[in-house]
Amino acid sequence: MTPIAIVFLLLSTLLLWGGLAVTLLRLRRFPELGADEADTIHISPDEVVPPST
Amino acid sequence: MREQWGGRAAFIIAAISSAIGLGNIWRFPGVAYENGGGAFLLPYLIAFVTAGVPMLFLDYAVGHRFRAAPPLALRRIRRWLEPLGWVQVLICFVIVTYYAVIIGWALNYALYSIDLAWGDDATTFFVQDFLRLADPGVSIEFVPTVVIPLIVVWIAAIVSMALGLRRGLDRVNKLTLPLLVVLFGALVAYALTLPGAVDGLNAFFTPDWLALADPTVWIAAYGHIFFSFSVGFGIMLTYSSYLKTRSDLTGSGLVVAFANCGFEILAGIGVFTTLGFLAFQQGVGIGELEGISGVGLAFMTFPTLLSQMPGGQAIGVLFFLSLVFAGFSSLLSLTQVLVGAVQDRTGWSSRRSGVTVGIAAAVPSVLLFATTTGLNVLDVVDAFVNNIGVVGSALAMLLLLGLVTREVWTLRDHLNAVSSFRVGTVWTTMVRWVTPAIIAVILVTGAIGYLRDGYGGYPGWFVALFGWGAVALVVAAAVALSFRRYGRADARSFAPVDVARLRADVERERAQLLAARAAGPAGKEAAR
Repeated sequence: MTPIAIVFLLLSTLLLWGGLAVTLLRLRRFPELGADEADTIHISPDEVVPPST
Repeated sequence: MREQWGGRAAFIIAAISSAIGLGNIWRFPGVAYENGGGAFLLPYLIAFVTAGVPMLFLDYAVGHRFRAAPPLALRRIRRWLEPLGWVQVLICFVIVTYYAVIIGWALNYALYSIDLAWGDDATTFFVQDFLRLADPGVSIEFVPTVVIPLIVVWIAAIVSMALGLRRGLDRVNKLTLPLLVVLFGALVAYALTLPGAVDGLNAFFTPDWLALADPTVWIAAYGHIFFSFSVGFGIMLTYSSYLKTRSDLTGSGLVVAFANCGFEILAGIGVFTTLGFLAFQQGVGIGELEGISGVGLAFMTFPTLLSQMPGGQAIGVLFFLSLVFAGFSSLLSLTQVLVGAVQDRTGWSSRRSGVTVGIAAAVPSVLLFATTTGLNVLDVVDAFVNNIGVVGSALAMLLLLGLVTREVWTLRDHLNAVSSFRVGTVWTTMVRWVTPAIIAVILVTGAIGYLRDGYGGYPGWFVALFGWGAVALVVAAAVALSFRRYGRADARSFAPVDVARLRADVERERAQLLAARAAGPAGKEAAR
């Protein structure tokens, strides 16, 4: 490969896959919240609103 | 009842599966090569930061704050915004009708790869034997080789939709995404060993600096990022509406954005190493090859090189199954917008909504795209629905939320209340001014081009009917749907969560969990 192509190959790979690694590690530092929330939301069957237009 | 994602991982996997679609594999490498090779990386990364990520965050914020598919979510902001939501839903409807067809082709080609059924002339095989392509027009002559796999794809999609968010979509994503990465990774690893692979990499990564002075290169970069992220037409908005109230939006969004673009670079390496092999075999330069993106790349150029490649059968199966997996998870993300909108409007179960949506989309899919004129119709509908419909919808959303209703300030506060990565003036500036300006340029230049030159050499009536006609039908139907009453889901009685309270809840719970994590296993047990 030509040197310039190698530079751009490494640059793009490092920026994007490196960015993915950094954001994943960063996300792991923040604990996942909302474990106490229900798995479904209930929608009331009685609420009726008029058309918008 | 409205389902929610099982957790952060399920949402991230679903969003990545949606973003990584056919375009990542067959569109990005060609666009990058034709627009400066390695130099394209610069506008691509700038578009990533200034348009892709800001719009992704905007979609997440709207869906998460207003907790509904596009029509109801936008209606909850202002009632008169509802038609824009239906435009997004109907754009997804049109796209799924032809997207399923391409997955069906790929499914067939995965089988054809076993004995390289296309022989020595893959182009003639695809056009004449496989599609039996006729001149542009309206045909009712169905092509069995297209109809049968298409029906298989729709049955699989309907079953998945009917099973709901967790038992259907979530499970499919957790199966298809790892399979896609493994299959495509194996393909890239093998392609790197082929003669000519280095020439392919040189062609892909060597920068043409003069291209940076060409405005069309920048438009191409922004246009690609925009489609690649699946933003502006309801998918990410709908997906984030199923997140739990205290979910990290921007932290997850950055993972999705980098994963999507990282896969695109991998796809570029895979495609160009194999194109390098084809050029080597034919004794020509890569620039002399035809069909290096889109349908031409996947179903004409790639089969041609598979016939000349050692182990072509196995690589063909890997490549076409990669397309099937990438496409199917993206198809389900599109149908989820439809299912979500139907559920919001009617209160139906996911099973009833999924089956209804599936049948309603499968019928026009077969009638329009499984005939001898299917490829022509697909080509025109795809171009107009994407370049006019999706771009117009995204522009309208940015202008209406950023400048007209000024809802963007509340959305910024909402993002910051729940997220680990804070957004500020840079984000609001991008969403209000920079991204709309760039998208407006893309929309206007695209529309002028279509009005002045037509599209793809098709007859004017054909472009008017399936191009402009499809866009007009989407807008008209969206307005008509907005006149109907909401039977169950509320708009007037819905109160978005108070941002200050949300922020306090998030900070308190996060502090508790971090303290528990620091205390070790006993602390985690106590926190539970």
